[in-house]
Amino acid sequence: MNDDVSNWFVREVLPHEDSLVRYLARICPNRSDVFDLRQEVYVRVFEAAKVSRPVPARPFLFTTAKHLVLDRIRRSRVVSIEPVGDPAALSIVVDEVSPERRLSSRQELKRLAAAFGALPPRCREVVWLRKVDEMSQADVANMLGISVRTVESQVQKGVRLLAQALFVDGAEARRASSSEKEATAANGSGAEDER
Amino acid sequence: MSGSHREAERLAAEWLSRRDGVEWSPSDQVELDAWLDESTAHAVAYIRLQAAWNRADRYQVLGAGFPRRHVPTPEQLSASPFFDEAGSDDDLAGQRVASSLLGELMAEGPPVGSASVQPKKTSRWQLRSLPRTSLAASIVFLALAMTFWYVKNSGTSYSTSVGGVVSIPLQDGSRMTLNTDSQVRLALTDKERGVVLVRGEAFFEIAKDPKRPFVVSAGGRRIVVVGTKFSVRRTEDDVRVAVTEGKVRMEDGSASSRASSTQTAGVAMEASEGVFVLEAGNVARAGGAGMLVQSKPLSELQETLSWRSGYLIFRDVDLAGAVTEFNRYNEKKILINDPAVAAIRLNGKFKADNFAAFVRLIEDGFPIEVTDYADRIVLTQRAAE
Repeated sequence: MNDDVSNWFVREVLPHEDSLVRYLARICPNRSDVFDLRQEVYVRVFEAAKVSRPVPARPFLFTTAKHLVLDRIRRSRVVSIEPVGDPAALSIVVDEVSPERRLSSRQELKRLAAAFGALPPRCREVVWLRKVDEMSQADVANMLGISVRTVESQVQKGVRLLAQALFVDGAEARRASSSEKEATAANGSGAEDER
Repeated sequence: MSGSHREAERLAAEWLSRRDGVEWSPSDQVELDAWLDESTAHAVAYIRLQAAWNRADRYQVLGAGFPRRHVPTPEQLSASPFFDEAGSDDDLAGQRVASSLLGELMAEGPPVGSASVQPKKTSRWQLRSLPRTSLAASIVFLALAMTFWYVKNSGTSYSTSVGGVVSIPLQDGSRMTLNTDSQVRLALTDKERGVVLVRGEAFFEIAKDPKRPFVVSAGGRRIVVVGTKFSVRRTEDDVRVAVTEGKVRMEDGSASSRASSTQTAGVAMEASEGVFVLEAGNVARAGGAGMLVQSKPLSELQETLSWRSGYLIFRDVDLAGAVTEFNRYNEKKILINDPAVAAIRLNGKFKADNFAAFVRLIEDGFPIEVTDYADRIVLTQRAAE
């Protein structure tokens, strides 16, 4: 793995995940494809960034998403775009959300608090004890009277749900305040499906 | 292709939870690196999950005010006083944000000046740590944690490395606790239980033995004890003694000590020339220019000794002082390049070995720009955007 690219990816690409997911959900009717498309976009962006980092990242991200979907349409595989999808959306200028995606500390903490609520109870306990009390997985297992394996699997579940909640469902908060309809589309993808 | 990304995420989560566990070894790391190099799909899945997992460290900020090992309900968490503050989400993510870290924090920001009128877009979150470097950091941390317990016993000499704190029981029933980067040498005789503090800091709990006083020597001073609890810290410039129980006698060879001691707010009793009796609550600071003795509430003294349980507690100290303390415990040093930043005052309780949390906090709470280099972390004033 290339550390610089990884760092760039976390800083410049992941903050756009919620709008990327909404975009993909709009141009691709099958919700279950959104997750794969998103990851495939990430792969392409990451590969490209190894050679040269696109600045700014956001337009490149969406252009990549668009090309990916168009490729799929051309090859008529995996994605069936027609009756449900919105081909017109492909030509939409995607910058409808402010390009400033960095959250204030407080917004970020609000997201974290919301994400906490998205975790099942056991998962919540494990994440909290591990992160806040900085207990080892073994100590967490001891305290909760469960096996270390169970703790591990709760960490796995927790981290996937957290990623979903922090990167994708972050739009929820905005939807609540500004009733953005599209945000619902974001829910169809990612770890949430496998809850 | 469909399904392979989900599989990648599932495996990435597995790797992450393993790496998060206690049994992670260098060979595991090699395996993980190989898996990540295998395909970009693996890499992006892992990086994404890792970013989320790292960000969850910040539950510590929200954990302020909850008892230890108490898992709050989501409702309790959302009701955190932290979110009550009037004003928009976008205000300078400020002083009160910082103030709730680890429960005890009450940080007062410096005058923010023009920064206070910044509209949106002021703060930002950034996960700076690269996956690989954060792995490296975890490994370094592990190594530190191990040296934590590793005390080099060379004959009658004990030492700790940077970041290490260790408690050593002595044969006579006394106990000494060595702080980070410290060394003591035992010099036991029939008449005297002698300990030389070669460098650093140690806390002593002395078993009573009137016939055989316990004597700590440090930088030309002798601290003579019958049975009590106290700490001695030796820096380049001075020797500091803090007594939490009983009395100790501090013998000082330097002639200037008398003159300067009269200027102190101190309550030390001068027994005879160059000899002071320090009582519980006394903090003495003996340097080249003499000795300064202060009397402090015991609770405050206990706080300055919180390093024994791995914590640093700051009460209204400037950032320069806090950073100096942190740097004692970590090989990677924090540097301040700006007097205005150095003068920021703060309170708080921190884990001594978790300077990452400390740095995040001050970055969040103050208009400070943090630049993370391989060998040092530099703090400068954040330019108004």
